[in-house]
Amino acid sequence: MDNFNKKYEKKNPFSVPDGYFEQLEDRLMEQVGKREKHRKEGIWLLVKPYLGLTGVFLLALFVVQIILPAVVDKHQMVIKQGGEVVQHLEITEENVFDARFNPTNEEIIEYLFSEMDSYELLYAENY
Amino acid sequence: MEVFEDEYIITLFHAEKQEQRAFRLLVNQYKERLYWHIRKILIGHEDTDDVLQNVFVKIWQGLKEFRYESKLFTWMYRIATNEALNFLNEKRRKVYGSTDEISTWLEDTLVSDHYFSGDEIQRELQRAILTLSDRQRLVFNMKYFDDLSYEDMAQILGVAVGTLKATYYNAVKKIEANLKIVDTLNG
Repeated sequence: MDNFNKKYEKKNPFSVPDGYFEQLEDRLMEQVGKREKHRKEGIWLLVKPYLGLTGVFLLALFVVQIILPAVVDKHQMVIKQGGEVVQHLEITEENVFDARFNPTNEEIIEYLFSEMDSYELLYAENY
Repeated sequence: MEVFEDEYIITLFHAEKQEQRAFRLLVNQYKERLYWHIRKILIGHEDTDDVLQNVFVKIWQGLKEFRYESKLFTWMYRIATNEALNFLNEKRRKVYGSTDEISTWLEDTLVSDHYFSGDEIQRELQRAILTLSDRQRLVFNMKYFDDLSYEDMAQILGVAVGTLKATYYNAVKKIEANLKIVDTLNG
């Protein structure tokens, strides 16, 4: 090995173009910058469709959970019995039920007469 | 050239908005060592330049996760070694079918490369080195030219020290035998 070292020395036989190492630093920084930009753009392109889908989903969730119940509550009354929805009614002046209203038989007959016209009365009398 | 401690460079790299500055210091400090390491594997300047750029891009990306599981220098050497060997393997796979042919390609590169400043004896030695297998060549170059310790080489190549010693010994014997043949042929 000693003879080997003496004859061949540990000399680097290769060389580089003039100014190669001086320019290398700037070239490498530029390369790294470019690839980093490319990588970030790549990540954005990858994530973008998923973000879009998430946005649509959240919007749908917002509409279903927040907006729709508010709109429904204005027009509908839900009658619940033991936690189970049994009937949906359109809220109008006529079908609001007052539990305290308890008419007598005379009041009912008077009401029915007032609602019937004269032909109906004649027809009823024949029977 | 001012030399910075690896720890300083890494700390700077992790500081806010100091990545580029730290990386510039790192490039400045290690560009030549890594270049010559790759150059001895690939022989040609152009290929070495391409691979070196990839190596530094990988170092940049990996530095964010670097946690001193090995020395910074051995970690970078490992990246450079892997990239250079991958380049050779790709060449072997795409263009040539066998190890012999890649040796011939490397020898042709040695002859045709404009950036070889050694004399005929140096070229003879390089030719003899090219007769070795990739691993023998790697171990020989790292030990003989780069003066790396077997411990550092073991970390870089992931091979036991004993195996490296045996590989180096066999490589030297093979080179000596090759050079003897050349001497005999030259009279």
